[in-house]
Formats: sequence, C-alpha cells, structure tokens
Amino acid sequence: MSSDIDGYEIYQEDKRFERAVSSLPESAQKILKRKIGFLAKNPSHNSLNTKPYHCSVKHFSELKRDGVDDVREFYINGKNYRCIFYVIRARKMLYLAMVGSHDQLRNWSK
Amino acid sequence: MSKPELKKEDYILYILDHLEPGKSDFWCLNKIAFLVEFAYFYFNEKPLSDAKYAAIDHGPVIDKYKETFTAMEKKGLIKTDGYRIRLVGTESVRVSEDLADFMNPLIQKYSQLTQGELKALTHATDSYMITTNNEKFMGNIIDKNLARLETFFEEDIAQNAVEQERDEIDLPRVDFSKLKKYEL
Repeated sequence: MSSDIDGYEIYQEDKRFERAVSSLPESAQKILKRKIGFLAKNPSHNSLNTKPYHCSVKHFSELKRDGVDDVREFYINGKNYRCIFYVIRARKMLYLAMVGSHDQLRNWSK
Repeated sequence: MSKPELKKEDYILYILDHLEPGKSDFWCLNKIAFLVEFAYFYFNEKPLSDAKYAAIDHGPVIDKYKETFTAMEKKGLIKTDGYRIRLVGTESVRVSEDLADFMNPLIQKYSQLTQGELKALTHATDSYMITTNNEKFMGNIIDKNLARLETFFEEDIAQNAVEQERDEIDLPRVDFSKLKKYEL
C-alpha cells in the first residue's frame, strides 16, 4: 500500500530532538528508531499507525507560514510517548518536531 | 439533595464575568447557565447553584429571570440595556479552583455558540423535552435530576479536554537553518 509521504526524507532539529530522544527510556528509544525507519522506508507500515495531529488554528496558521502542510503523530509505545512530525511537501520533507511524554511535549520550549 | 455550591446571583455574576464579549444578553446567559448547571449535576450529582430552571417556549431559562435581573440591577450588581446585560461591580465572585476548572471551559465553549445554536441545543435536551411534555404533572420547573439523562455532556467534556491539550502543546516553528538529515 502506498502513502502520500512515500520517499520523503526525514529531518530533525540539530540538538533539541536528540536531547529529547536520549531522555526517553532505552526501550522507547529502540522502538522510536525502528518506527522512524518505517517512516522513511514504508510509512504505511501497520505498526507505525500515524494519524493527523489536530493542532489549534493559531498554531497551524503559524506553521503554515513556515511551509508546513500537515502535522501528524505516532505513538512510540502504548500512549506514554509519542512523536509529532510535520509534512513539508515542497521539500518532500518530514520534520521530526517533538518527541516525549505529554509533560515533555508541554514543556518542550521551556 | 446536597447544598448548592453557589447562590443564584453569584452564579449569574460568575458567568457574566467569564462570558465571551458580546455574548452577555438575556438569552445566552440563560442558556449557558442551564447548560453549565446541568453538566455539573450530570458529573457531580449535586446542584451547582440554587437557581431553578423553567421550561418556557424559548427553552430552558432561569426561573423568574426577569425579576432576578431587576433585583440584581437594583442592588447595583448588573446593568441591563434592552436584552444586553453587563457587570457593574469590579469584584469577582470567588470559587474553588476545582469549580473554576469545571465551569470556565464550559462557559467559554458554550459562549462561542450563536444564540440560535444555544437555543437548538437546549431545546433538544431531554430535561427540557420531558418537562414540556409532562407540564400538566410536573409544572414548568425542570427537575435537576433529569440532568442524568444528558449524556451529550460526556462528549462535550472530552472534546474540551482534547482542545485544551492542543493549546497546551506549543508546536515548534521550523527553522530550516537548524535542520539536519536524520541518520537512519
């Protein structure tokens, strides 16, 4: 089955995303790595289960100005940790924007 | 029945203090008071205020709302101008944090609806329909125990929680100069 983001390349912000990944439990880090692999090579893989992230209109209009077409998310293990990513079609790019528990995501920019 | 959390006048003042600008008219206030009160009863099985609600042709309203508003105006608590109604005093009604956490999102949610939407929503409540259909036996006062039938509050609260989360998470902006390719 094909996906609308087949063949897109994956990007992350230089440091913040890496720091957030390293703060995850080791088991979650391994699952995340595997799932990002699916995102790159087979985004319609069953175990990835991405879904749209319905952000507020205010947030989405800001991101739209940055060229973001879509915001999506997938859970890493159960409902504890998740990863939010942006789809930027003009660059065929998936930007890994945030990862972590709900509290970590809430305090992302602090 | 348990003691209500708020006196009717304080409840009205609290809602007026938290209404979206431009929504403080007789009808919106009456509908929002009814919806928040009945939602509170639905989840807590006790009354939020000592206000009674009457089922009239315009839908559920605070019983004797005209007399209540007139009395409040005489006390210098509110000012009415046609159908408009506004707070006069600057002192806010204090409620517990739990109560504010319950009421504020609902007041905000319902005050975003138009008068027509509020009317449609409240006319469709079981509490209102049962009271109007059985007025001969029940009178026109809506029994707060009927709030238990209003299962739509579950969805409203769940939707509010989702919307609240959306606003809590501040999605980062994209700075292309800081991006690097993810190493698989």
